[in-house]
Amino acid sequence: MTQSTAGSASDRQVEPTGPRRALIAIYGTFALAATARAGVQIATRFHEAPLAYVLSLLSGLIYIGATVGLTTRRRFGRPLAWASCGAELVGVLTIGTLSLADKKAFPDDTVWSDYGSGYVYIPVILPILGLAWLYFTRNMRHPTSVKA
Amino acid sequence: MALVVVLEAALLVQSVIGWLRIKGSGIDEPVTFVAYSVGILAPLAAAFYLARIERTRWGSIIVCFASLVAAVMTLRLAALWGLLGG
Repeated sequence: MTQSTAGSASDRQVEPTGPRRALIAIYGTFALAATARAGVQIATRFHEAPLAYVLSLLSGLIYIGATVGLTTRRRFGRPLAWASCGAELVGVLTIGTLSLADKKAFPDDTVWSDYGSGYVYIPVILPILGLAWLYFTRNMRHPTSVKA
Repeated sequence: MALVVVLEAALLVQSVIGWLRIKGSGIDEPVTFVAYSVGILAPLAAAFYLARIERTRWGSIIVCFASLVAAVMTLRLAALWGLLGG
C-alpha cells in the first residue's frame, strides 16, 4: 500500500508520511539514548573524559533538535531538521576522524567515536538519510491530514 | 501487532522480576539497571502507536527497528546483571 502522492490544488505533491515517521522513530531513540547516556556519564564520572561526555551531550541535543524538527509542523521545523542533520553529519565525521587520529583526547567513547561503530554505524548513516529525505521532499506539501 | 503486545508483556514481566530481585543481587549499577528496565518498555509502545497511524510498510519498518532496540536493551540488561561475563 503506497501513500497518495497525487498533485493537489496547489500543484505540489503531498509528502508521504511514512519515511518521516520512520525517521522520527529512529531519531527519537537516539535522542533518548544519547542524552541519557551523556547525562549518566556527566553525573557519575565527568572527570574521566570531560571532552567525550560533553560531545555526547551535544550529540544528544542535536538528536533532540532533529526529532523536534521532523515532528513539528511549525515553520521552523524544516530549517531545524536541516541544521540538526547537517550538524550531525559534520559532527560524526569530525569526531569519527579525530577519535581515530588522537586516541588520547578520547579516553572514553562518544556516540560518534569511530563513526558510530558502537551503534552499528547508524550515527553516520542516519544524517545522510535525514538530509536525503529533506532534499527530496523540499517542494512537497505537508500532508494536511495527520491520519494515514 | 499481536506479537508486539505479547513481546511488550514479556518485557514488562522481565522488568518487574528484575525490580523485585534487585535487592541483594549485588549488581554494580542499580540505577542504570532500573533506567534500562523502564526504558525498554518505551520503544515497542511508541512503535505500536506509530504503526497504528502509519498502516504502510513504513509502519512495519518502525516495528522492526523498535524490536531491534528492545533486543539490544535486553542484552544490556543481561550485561548489567552480570550474565554475560562482563
